[in-house]
Amino acid sequence: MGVRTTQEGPPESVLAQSFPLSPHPRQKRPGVLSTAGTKKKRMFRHKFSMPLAVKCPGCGAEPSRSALEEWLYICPGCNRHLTMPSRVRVETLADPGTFHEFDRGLVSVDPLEFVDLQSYRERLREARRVTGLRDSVTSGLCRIEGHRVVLMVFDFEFLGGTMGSVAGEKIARAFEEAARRHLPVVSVTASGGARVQEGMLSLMQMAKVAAAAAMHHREGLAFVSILADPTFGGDYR
Amino acid sequence: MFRFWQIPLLGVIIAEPGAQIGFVGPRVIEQTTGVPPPRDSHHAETLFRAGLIDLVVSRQDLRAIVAYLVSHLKRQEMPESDGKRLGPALNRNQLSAWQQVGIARHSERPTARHYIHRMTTRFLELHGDRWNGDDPAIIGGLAELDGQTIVIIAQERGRTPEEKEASHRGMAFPEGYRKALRLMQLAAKFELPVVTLIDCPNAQASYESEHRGIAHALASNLAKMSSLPTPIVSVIIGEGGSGGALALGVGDRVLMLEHAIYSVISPEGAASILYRDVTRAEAVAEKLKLTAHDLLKLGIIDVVVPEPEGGAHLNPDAAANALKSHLLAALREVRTVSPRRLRATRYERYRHIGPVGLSWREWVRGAIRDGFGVVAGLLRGTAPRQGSTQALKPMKPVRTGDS
Repeated sequence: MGVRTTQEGPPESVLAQSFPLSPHPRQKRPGVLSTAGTKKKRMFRHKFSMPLAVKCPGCGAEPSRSALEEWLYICPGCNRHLTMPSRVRVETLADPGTFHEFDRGLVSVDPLEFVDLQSYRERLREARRVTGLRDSVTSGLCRIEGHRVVLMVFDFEFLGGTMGSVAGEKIARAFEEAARRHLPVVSVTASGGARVQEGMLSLMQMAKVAAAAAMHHREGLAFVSILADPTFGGDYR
Repeated sequence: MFRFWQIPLLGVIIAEPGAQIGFVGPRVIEQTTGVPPPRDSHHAETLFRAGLIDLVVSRQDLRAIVAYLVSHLKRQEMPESDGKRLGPALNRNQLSAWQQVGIARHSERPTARHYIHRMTTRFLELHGDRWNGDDPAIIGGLAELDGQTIVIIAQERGRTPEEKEASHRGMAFPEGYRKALRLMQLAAKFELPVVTLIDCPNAQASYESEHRGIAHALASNLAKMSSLPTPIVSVIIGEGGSGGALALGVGDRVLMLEHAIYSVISPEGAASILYRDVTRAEAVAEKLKLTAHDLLKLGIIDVVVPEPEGGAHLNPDAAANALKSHLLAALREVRTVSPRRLRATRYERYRHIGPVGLSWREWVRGAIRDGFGVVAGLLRGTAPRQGSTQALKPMKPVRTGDS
């Protein structure tokens, strides 16, 4: 386990005694994000387009990305929990090699032909290049310590983790898939809220995912929502 | 059958330490209103204190906690009933009611946390009422009792002076009761049994608590508990005071520790109302019938759990072990019953508490009493008044509001 310092526990923590931690399942190379070998390469082709060092907003330290991956993206200087790419998030939560991604093919279509300082198409292209993802949400089936769950993860690096039509569709499909398979849902949110470039269409995604979450709830299945830094907008928690 | 749309959307919400969480970010608030919000306004810890988040978990622990939650928040196999029943405790103590009050309030008496940690394993406390706070006077969460997952909710008085201060000596604000209700609904969703441990002088009586709706919180707990589609076992472990205790005490089985007390009002309160003299509490305590064996006779509780000689504080571990075996026996009985039957029997149980008289019968009794003093004396001796309910024609059952 790569974490150097012990964190301050949550208030009135009894976690340390009751929940002995199993060692982190980390793989040498990424690859948990896909099932098919050929697609794997495409997914991570642009991995190193991201800046190689991250500046911690808390203490100004600039640890390298490779070091941060070892430390679960916790700042070595001030123990601040930094924004974590969705790929690393999946790696740290799911058992190695168990993640099967849903809906890899979905992409945004720029329905409003939105242009601000930069066109929305341009922004999407840039975000895809930097993160290597197709949209802000990655969803899929995995095991966590052997228990099958449907996992969905937001990536804050992709246009601020905003939720457009694609993200909404992916989340709704993930909830439906979980209900169909009778599985719990675990979500990790780091989002700026609705994606302004898709206007009201993106606001309506809130209603869509809330309805899907309620449907999943009516099936009597568990939903664990993890809120990472930052989570804004009337999101579906 | 029970329908899930009756209970609010229930997930477990975990936040990472220091995460900024909210509806509108602080920068947008400042730019639109011109007033910067406080520095920590959107921090996970602030929201945790405001009761909006169950847990703040650092990244290293996240995986273990998520794994625990997804493996325990699901329907479990019903354990097979082996038909073993524990007999009632013998009334061997010769203590007066006032002495029992003394033991129940003893400063060394083990509190709820002690019982939780001695009886259960892997207790994961969940926090907050998702509305406006998290009250340390009521604690609750998931735990394993002898391998079965339960939701345990308990009133915690606190042992040290600081703990007592934090939990307002066990007198919970509405937040505490709303948190309890939320956890019970979580249990209902997965048909997990609920165990409540009751130990409080009363619910919080203050301007703030009234303002936040203590009466409403208690009343909705009573109403929702009466129709909760999952087994509830309540245990009075110390002082069961009035509405604050009953709001966690509407169970299918109600257990009571031998030296615990359960009363409509504290003896001091009763003395000051009836005699305007607090010093007469001792005499009033006897009349209130607040001890375990008296309440067993009245049919308010089902089981008296024996305590170690002299009280639980002299041997806390033995007390916890005795309680655990009685709890397991009670759970074995109620877990095999279907939710529908469970609700129906719970309704009947509380529906028929309290004897009532019919006017003509009471009139005849009065006349006999007046006319034939000697006969009336005999009648009172052989037929105590509690018996009169049996003769009553049962009223048509009233439909509960949300069933």
